[in-house]
Amino acid sequence: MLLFALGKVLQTLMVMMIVSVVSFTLLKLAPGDPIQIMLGEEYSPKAHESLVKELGLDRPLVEQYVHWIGNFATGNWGVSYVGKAPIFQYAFVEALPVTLTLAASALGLAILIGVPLGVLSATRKDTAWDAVSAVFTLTATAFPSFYLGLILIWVFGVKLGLFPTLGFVPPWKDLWGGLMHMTLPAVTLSTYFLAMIVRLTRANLIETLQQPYIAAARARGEPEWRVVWVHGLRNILMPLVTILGLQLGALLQGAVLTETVFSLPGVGQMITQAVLDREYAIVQAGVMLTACLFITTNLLVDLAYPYLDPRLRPR
Amino acid sequence: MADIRATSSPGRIGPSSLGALAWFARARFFLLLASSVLAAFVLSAVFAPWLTPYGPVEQDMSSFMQPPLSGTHVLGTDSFGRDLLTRTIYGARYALTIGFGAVLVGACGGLIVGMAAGLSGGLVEWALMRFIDALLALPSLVMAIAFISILGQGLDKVVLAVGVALIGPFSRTVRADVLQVKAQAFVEAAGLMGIGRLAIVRRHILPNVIFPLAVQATIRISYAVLVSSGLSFLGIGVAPPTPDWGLMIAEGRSFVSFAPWIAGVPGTALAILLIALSVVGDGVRERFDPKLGRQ
Amino acid sequence: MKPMHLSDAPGKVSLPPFIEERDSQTLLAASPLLTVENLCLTRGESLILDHVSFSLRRGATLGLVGESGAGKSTIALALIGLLRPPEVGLGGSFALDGTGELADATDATWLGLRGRRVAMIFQDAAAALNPCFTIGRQIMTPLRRIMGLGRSAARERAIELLESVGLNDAPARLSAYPHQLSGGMQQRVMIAIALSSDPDLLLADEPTSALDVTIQAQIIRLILDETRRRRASCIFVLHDLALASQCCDEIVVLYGGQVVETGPSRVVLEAPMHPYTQALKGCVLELDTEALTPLPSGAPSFASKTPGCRFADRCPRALGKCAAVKPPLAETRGRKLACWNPL
Repeated sequence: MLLFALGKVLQTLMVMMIVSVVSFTLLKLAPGDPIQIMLGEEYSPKAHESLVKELGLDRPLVEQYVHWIGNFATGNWGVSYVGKAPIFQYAFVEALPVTLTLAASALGLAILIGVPLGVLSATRKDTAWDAVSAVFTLTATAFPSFYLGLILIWVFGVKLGLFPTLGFVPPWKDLWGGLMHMTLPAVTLSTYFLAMIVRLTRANLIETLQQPYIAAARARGEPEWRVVWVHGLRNILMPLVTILGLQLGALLQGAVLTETVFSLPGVGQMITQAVLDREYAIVQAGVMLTACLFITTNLLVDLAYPYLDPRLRPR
Repeated sequence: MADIRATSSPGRIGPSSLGALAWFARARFFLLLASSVLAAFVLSAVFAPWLTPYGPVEQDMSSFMQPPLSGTHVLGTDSFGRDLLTRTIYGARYALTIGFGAVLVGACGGLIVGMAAGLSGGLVEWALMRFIDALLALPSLVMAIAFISILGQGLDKVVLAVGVALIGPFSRTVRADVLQVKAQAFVEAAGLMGIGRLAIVRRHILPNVIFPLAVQATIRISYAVLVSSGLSFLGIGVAPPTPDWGLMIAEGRSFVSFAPWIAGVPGTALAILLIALSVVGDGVRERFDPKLGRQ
Repeated sequence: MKPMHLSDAPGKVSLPPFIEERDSQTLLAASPLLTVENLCLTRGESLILDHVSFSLRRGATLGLVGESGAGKSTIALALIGLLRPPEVGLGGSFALDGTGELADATDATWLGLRGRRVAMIFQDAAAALNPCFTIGRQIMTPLRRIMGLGRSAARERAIELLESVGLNDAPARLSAYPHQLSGGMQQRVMIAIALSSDPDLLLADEPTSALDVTIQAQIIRLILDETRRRRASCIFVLHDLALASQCCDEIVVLYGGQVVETGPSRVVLEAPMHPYTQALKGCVLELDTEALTPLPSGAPSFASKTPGCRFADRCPRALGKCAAVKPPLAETRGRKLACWNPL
């Protein structure tokens, strides 16, 4: 068991390394001369040379990479040209919590509503309700989330005036304000996942409910609600988590778009702004952060498998 | 022996004949509808110059921000006085071009990487697998954003960026297909008969991989369209005044409260195209790929 | 414990001792535990069960025998209420002693019967145990919910039950998962769960088909001992005639969803009167068999329109009217028989 976990962690580290190499290369390939940008008006060939030496940009590439990765691991991510603030502060301390709050609320909402809806669709298979649910699922998985966000803003924000339409309020500072500000963004982001969860739950539950152990449970006198919600659901956890794990990328991606629609100062908006400002260091930091996030969550999902399906546990 | 899968569950509402009929009709009907819609989009994209009353970047400040069905502009105008119907139809051109282009780039790249990973063994295979993992470590949009930051903005750069971002998912499916074909007995038999490795690849493996890849590519077009519109929406895709739907939605965003049609018209068009592509993609997948039900 | 007759010469069609032993008990005086009258089951256009009738006394064992697809498991599933409208159509009637009519019973009625008065053991124990829950949880849940035991009482009882079915190291087994046990152990667990509420009727659907031959005898013995101890009745669904002869008091021979012959197993199997029963007997591989006489090939038709005996097209003794008119189940020579041209 421990060996299994260790192996997974090693794999993960290797992947991280490749990502970091790619990120590093990205920075090196970026057009424009960072030295010029940094020096701005104080530019002179002499200043250029001394800054190059100071930053170690004349050292061999491999050495630069090692230096950079060391910096990255210790939180020294450089300084933003525009804001003149340490990037680490900007990215990790300020932007990341916003994105995480958004992602977590959206996922939570999607699971809380999606699983029961999926169960209902499965138990009411082939009825009119099921057909409606199928249409909804199909539409919701394809619908562009940024447009949906705008529609929600128009309906609930502008026309009905129920929710604020932009900005982020940390829920840990102001719970009510935080919830109000997070409602529309979370609903927007959760729609795709809601549809996906309904579809998955329905498909997997229908198959699970045909298994002999379900009939055996009924034969033992278990009431139907227990058969479905305890026996049935427990057995679909594994395939559900697997596919959701694969879709985590879609969650981050959707978050990027949703943040822009609702002007939430998260990682997504940070990266987008950095591209427009040509702040490659921030782009790089954002890319690394996103990758780390994604890889870590995937690792956690992988490690969770044996808990979800006892058959995977080592004997 | 009785089929235990068919046992009854208490309280279950039996399939109503209406429900069953609704299901069947829905399936066929929606597929047909979606295909027609898709065809309509493609045709209007191709014949755009003949179908549109105005030019796509033609400004007319005297009739700016006109709501739909008022005056001479059927779908209204935007903040620059440009006709929305025209821009939306031209938008179809861009959406479909980028979608197809990006998928083509991604599929080709994925084919190469996936085949390499599937055909190699040992350490090389392990390294390539980790490489693919790394490609997949970033969501496509974020990777596309990163590439745009190097390449700059513009139509061709968007196609390239989104395409490269799709290499990861494609290479994973290609590799899985290669492994599956490789394990088939006839490949082993060919090897035993002394046919050279390259020939085996060319004649046996490649044809069996290309077809599922084509199916996957068709399915992913809607995804490519979504990502590229997303890029444009964020302002880092195609450059204005290109009539790209994502860009148009972003432009209309500031006017949502009093001129919602500026974002509404292209948004609805985008939503309809994506749904149609999704339904057709599902249909294609069901028809050609019944076993692999996953993304 | 009696010497296990089943373990020697499996396949010998001869009298096991315990049946003679039980004839001397006053079983005959008791009213039947289960009566099935003209039970019909339709699925879509097919008539899966065609007027099936039999009864079962308290404490007796009954064997449902026939080929695959004859409807044996269907009957068992119907008897525990797992095959009901709207999935299938049910006609006729069946009832347990003390319940009302069960053919149209409500969900609530069945909930009160299943796991309490009626219990079922399934063929594939590995598939019938939930892979995600421990054995302990699967045994203790009915004990706690249906019998109302507290947690520690349930645990003790669970250990007792596991030990009584022959599993050693019971406390360790409680925290094991189904896939960690062998096939025989899984089946024992199933039996323990089924017997935990002291049911009046135990349905065993081919309980040993998925097990090694060496384990089969042990499992059958276990089921018989346990049901006898609790004075419960047991219905075995079997396709193995030899096995049926050794462990069942009564036997019901099914073909194509129709009862062709039924009665005390000794009577029916020693001198079968229906051509199908005779043919089945001829297929049984015994240690001293010189030649097998296989049945002519074919399969029964379940079309609800077939009016006559479904065995007619394979029967070597078929008469003209066999395919047209269904023979009634009538009492002859100590058994009930449905045949126009018996042996």
